[in-house]
Amino acid sequence: MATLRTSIGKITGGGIKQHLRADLEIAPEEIDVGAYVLILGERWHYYALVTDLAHHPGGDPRFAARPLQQRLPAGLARWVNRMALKPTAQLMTNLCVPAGDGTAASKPAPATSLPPLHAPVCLAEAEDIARLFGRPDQPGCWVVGYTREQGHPVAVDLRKMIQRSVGFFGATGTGKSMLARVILSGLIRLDLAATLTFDLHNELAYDDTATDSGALIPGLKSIFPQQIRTFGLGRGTLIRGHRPDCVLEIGMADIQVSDILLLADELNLTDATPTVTSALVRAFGRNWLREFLRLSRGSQSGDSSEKVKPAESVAAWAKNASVNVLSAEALWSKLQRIKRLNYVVEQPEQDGIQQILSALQRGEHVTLSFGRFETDLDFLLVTNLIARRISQAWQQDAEHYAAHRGMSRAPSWS
Amino acid sequence: MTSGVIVGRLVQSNARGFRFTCTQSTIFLPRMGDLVSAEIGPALLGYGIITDILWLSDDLIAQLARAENIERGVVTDNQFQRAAGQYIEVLSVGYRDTSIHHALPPRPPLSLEQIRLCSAQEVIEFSDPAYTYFRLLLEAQDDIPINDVMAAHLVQAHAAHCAGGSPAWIQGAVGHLVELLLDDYAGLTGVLEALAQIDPSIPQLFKE
Repeated sequence: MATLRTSIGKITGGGIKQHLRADLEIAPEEIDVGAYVLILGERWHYYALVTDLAHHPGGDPRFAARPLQQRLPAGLARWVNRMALKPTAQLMTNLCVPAGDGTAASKPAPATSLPPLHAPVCLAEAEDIARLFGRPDQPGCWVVGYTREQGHPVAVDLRKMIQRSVGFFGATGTGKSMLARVILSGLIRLDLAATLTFDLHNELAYDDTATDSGALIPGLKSIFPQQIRTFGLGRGTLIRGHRPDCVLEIGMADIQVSDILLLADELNLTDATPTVTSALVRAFGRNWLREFLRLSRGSQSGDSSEKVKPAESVAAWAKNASVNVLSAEALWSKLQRIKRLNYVVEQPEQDGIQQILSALQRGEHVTLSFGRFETDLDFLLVTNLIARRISQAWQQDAEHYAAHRGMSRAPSWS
Repeated sequence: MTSGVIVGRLVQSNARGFRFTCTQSTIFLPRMGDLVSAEIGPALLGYGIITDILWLSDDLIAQLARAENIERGVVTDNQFQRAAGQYIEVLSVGYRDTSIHHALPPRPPLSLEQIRLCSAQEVIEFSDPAYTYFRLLLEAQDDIPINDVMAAHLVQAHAAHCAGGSPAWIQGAVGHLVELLLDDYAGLTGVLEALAQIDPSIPQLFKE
């Protein structure tokens, strides 16, 4: 904290829960929502994030209502406006360090006290940003961007980040995908973990164009051609005009009952579904889906419009298996949506899921682009299925390591 | 203790200010907004800002004013030789003992005390530490033409500070005024409009 700081405002109200309010002494366009600031209390320095900016002139309301430019020379009017019409900022604070601690040794602690009124507010310096996130030169840290006001690097400790679940939340156009791309680049460049990217909108694997500026954004495959293996969902799928390294087709035998039950909402499954699927697994084993979908839905009451042999019909199977016929027929109808997905095949040419697993186990990085398959059903089915397989493989590796501790290598691919 | 030009003698005073009249040779020297000083006692100097200049009438003036034709010599004689009803009103804005204070002096200067127009150096010394004497002017705004007095004083003090190498003084002064008059749109705009009228070059100094 030895830096000579320039105050940009002072605390004038608010609280920790409802956010603090600061009257700013700078023009409204000189600071952005999302800026990091430091509140200089007497005992603590509080890190805070600007969450909102507003015009809130505190003096005579006529300063806001009547432009001074109509009465004063423009330069003087702007100068006075800058003092009289100060914007206010809402500040969210949740971390603090002891005031006067210039050593950067102490970690920021949760802020549980309130900065005093009139405490100066300053833009965070490079040292503050480094203390909050990480130092750009620290092993495992990766610069994900720069503060808009002063251009200080924001470095994230990726080693810590991958120990937890992380989500990027924000409105459309706020840069979630770009941040994901930058984080993934860091993980790959620093080789901290094998990564599997579900590229739902086909924007990460290959070069993309920024929606706002039209600038070319290099894809992961362009940046790391050797480290990345690209998968495309379904045979013949092209991703932004590129043929992926591998094709992912899902064999029906790979789909377990639990994968289908996870799609209960999407497929509008009923409470009777588990009963029917249990009977299917009992009857057909791991090929339950293929065999069930091979059945036909026809009348067994002799309806002349359906020429289906009773033994090939869903109803006949249901009757034989002592399952409610209507429930079985309803499930069969709903599972037709799975059948129509042309990346779900009876027998895939290659075991794409195993290829993905093997690549990850070798420490390689994988992107799976969904191509033209963009429905929630596609996303849920494929991601759930792969996640389950990864989890099973990881569990196997971990159990093997536990059983042969010292003789086998700890699983390190996740 | 003071080095300014003597412009007159005190004729009346109270805690908030004083009134003086000029000598024949200094009638044209005092201006609205000027900083003047008067000794109050040993090692005690009072400062004030000229807020009004009056020419009061008497019977002779009234009689001459009603005449159809008056010789120029008569006019000049009454304006300069008699100067019968000339009074200059001063509002006290501070005093100096061992240091400068922006507050009313402990007592007013005595009658017939010499009134001096402060030199540029004195203006700098008085106005440089802070702008806190503005409050005494603003507190008297109901009794004086505050916009023009304040603006005239700012122009003159700015000239002194420019000569002393501190052209940025005026920005601090206007900034302090904004702080003081944040709740008074008419008051602030009135002063600044007057400032721009008296010295149009000053607004040019306010660049973002």
